[in-house]
Amino acid sequence: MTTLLAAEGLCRRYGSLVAVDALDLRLDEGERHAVIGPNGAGKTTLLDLLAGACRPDRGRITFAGRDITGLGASRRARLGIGRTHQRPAVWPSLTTLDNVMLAGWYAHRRARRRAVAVDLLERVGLGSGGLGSGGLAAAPAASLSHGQRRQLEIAMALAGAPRLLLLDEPAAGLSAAELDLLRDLLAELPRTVTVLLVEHRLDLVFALADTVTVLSEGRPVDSGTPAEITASQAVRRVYAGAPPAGLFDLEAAG
Amino acid sequence: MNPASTLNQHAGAQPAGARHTGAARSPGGPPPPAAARSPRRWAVTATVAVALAAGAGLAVAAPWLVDPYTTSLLARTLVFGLVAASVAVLTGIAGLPTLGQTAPFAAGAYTCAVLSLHTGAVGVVSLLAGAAAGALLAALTAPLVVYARGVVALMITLAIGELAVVAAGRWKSVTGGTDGLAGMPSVPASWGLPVLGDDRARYLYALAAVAVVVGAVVLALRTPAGALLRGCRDDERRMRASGHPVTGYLAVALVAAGAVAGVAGSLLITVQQYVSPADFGFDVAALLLLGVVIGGAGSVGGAFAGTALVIAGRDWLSGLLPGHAPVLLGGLFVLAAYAFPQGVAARSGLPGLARRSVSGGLISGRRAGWLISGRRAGAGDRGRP
Amino acid sequence: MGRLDAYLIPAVDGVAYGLLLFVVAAGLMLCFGVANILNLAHGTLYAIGAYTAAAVSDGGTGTLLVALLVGTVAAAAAGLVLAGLLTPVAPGDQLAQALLTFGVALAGGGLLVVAFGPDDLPVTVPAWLDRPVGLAGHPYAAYRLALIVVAAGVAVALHLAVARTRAGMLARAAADDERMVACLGVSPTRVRVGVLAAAGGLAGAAGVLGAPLLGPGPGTAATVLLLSLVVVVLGGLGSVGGTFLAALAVGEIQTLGVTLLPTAAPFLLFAAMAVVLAARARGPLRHWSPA
Repeated sequence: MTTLLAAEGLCRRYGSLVAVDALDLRLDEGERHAVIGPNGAGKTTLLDLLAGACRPDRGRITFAGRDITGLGASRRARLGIGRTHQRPAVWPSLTTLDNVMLAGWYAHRRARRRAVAVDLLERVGLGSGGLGSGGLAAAPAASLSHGQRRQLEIAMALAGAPRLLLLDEPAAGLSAAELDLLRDLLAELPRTVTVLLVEHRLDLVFALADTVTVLSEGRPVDSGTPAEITASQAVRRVYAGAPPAGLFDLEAAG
Repeated sequence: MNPASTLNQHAGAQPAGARHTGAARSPGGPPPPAAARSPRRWAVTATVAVALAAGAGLAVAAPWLVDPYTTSLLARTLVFGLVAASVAVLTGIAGLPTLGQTAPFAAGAYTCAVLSLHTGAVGVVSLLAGAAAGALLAALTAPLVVYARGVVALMITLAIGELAVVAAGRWKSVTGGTDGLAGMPSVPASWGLPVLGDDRARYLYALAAVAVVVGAVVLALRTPAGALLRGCRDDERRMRASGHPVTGYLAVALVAAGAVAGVAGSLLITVQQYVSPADFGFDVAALLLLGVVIGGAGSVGGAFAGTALVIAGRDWLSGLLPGHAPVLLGGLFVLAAYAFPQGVAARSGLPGLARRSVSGGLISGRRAGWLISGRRAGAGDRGRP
Repeated sequence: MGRLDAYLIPAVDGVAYGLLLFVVAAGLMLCFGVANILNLAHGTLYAIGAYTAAAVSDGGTGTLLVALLVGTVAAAAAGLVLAGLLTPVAPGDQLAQALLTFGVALAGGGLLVVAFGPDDLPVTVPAWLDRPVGLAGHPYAAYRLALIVVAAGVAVALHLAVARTRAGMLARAAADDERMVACLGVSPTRVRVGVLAAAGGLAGAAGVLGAPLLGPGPGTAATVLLLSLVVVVLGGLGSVGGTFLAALAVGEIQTLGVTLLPTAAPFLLFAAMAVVLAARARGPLRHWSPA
């Protein structure tokens, strides 16, 4: 298994608030890695650090054998790191299709862009069919619902042909049906795409992840397979008093 | 399970309240089928076309309809309208509000003034020289501006514009100091053409040049370049996350806008045959911004019209009550700030300036932190772990 | 030694100028950092103070103090008027704020010219300060030394006010998150009014005291606004300490810099902005803090 991403000793502070401290992370190619933890644990900061949206105070990040610590976000995106955000970031004044095409700008040649965009919209469930001719592809992104925007942003992240996909709470605010859609979509992703998933919804995490890391107060508490995490005492301590639904049910369910 | 049908099943059941966006204007579904829109759309397009044609006709006929002095005022208005177009591109389309386009405007004007005084270059050469000078100044100042957003961009560009004026005032040997430069010879528009000897000829020359440049700008914005800039304006964070080098795009936009303002500088020399630092002061920059906002900052044509209105209004007020003009003009600015109830920035299509993102502040929840190396709307979560 | 002497006077002038600029720029930074208002009328508030000094101060210490009082109050009142005019404007709409404050600056400047005429006005310094004092063997205007002392005192008082008082703490909190301050029971309107009045008062006082250095005239408001903007931008927009250093730097550029390179002053400011902004572009973010 080749290592796709290696982060060593990442530290990031905001004034006197330590968001992430001494964080090491390794992702193998094709891995589905989930990061969970209580609020304020540093999960989004971790994604920001990996995607290049902010710089670490200390530490190093290597991607596909290359040191990317000093590279900016757009450079990293062109190298193959795609992401979605906690609040879906789309371009409201452009149509849905244009959003995906603009997102796939650097990954696909002009001739292919449209076809790729149409295909991705279908895959995330925003394509034509059932909603009048042209479907949602021609609708301005501003008119989409929250769940649809999430789906759109995933399509946009995929449009960049990423090798590493960073997902920031993709399931938040989704209905049950949309959640099913998301689960299927992520499950069907080829293993050429490595996925790092920050999530609170543990049913999704345990359905998808090969490895789970638990963060608390900016530090990794434990890391392992879903079963190991459920059994971990360290994790129980982290969630003492307020474990999220489903974390320890797995054990109860056998 | 067919993803499309799942979504369709669901879309019908979702209450309208689930729509998350400012979608009061839109029913939330796809736009109505094209056929139903045609008759209305045709009517609107036809009206706009007729209005534009009438306006163009009036514009061309103007010198024969009014006296020479008014003609020269109109020519000056055209020049400022062109600078306003460059402001509109940056402010409304790229999302970089600016009070500093007077700097490349001045660079173009002074370059062409010196060129004209020493070589008597023809119009076309002067236009190119102006474009080059404006682009060069914009390229030199771009690194200061390109990392700033919102109000900070206003501050920095204002400082740049003002410093340019002060420099023009001090650099007596080249710019003639606060007295300025005068006595440029009348030149032909191009080799072999008659000299632009009177106000009418100069007006028509300016009209032609402005029409070509504004047309080029509008066309350029319809290419993917326009979409890239709008993307930077609407959600810069998403642009970067999709691999777009936002800083590079904005730098290109700054240089292009500088070239346009430089062309306007060249036209100023031809039309006015005189230049002084007073032509580029802070109040001019503010008037341009006002014109752009009135005309709708997202629209180059609107900016042009809005600025023409504002400049005409100012000249009229100066004539009406000499000495009291600043007070009245000031009142006009205050009224303009009130005249847009949804907010000037909302009206001008600048989401970043119109509202804070939900997490507070325009970036990372901390206002001060956003300021220099800031981002815009859509970057709100960065400060929270 | 002779060469150095020639630069000593401008250097000390630079300190005086810089401290004055600090007091002025602090008001601008207050408006922006706490109430998120780009106050383009800030120069006009200074001009109100400067014109008051010209009109009231006639060489006596008493009149100077009266001028100080009247100027500060008048400029603070103008700040209140500004706050009132800004009320209908949506809080985050900085473009509208820029247009509105510019309108006030334009109208205010016009009114001042109507009232006082279009020329630069001379300002009479109190007699006991209007004499040279020995400074390292050189005669130096006593008034400027006094200005240095007073401005430094104001700077210290500002620092203490921000760091130690409840109002200062509220100001810092509002700079971070306005809505949270509202949750504490302080309305954003009150914050805006307070900030603009305070900025006005500061600018007005600076105008009265600084008038002999940067006096009243039709171009004063624009000059003061420009210099304040440059100081605020150079200072990092977040830190009072940074603004202090930036103000001193700009002061020195405008005095010592002009002595060394007479025509280059505007280019020097420009170059300073370029260097500082380039260095900071990728640098750490700052918070609005007392130091």
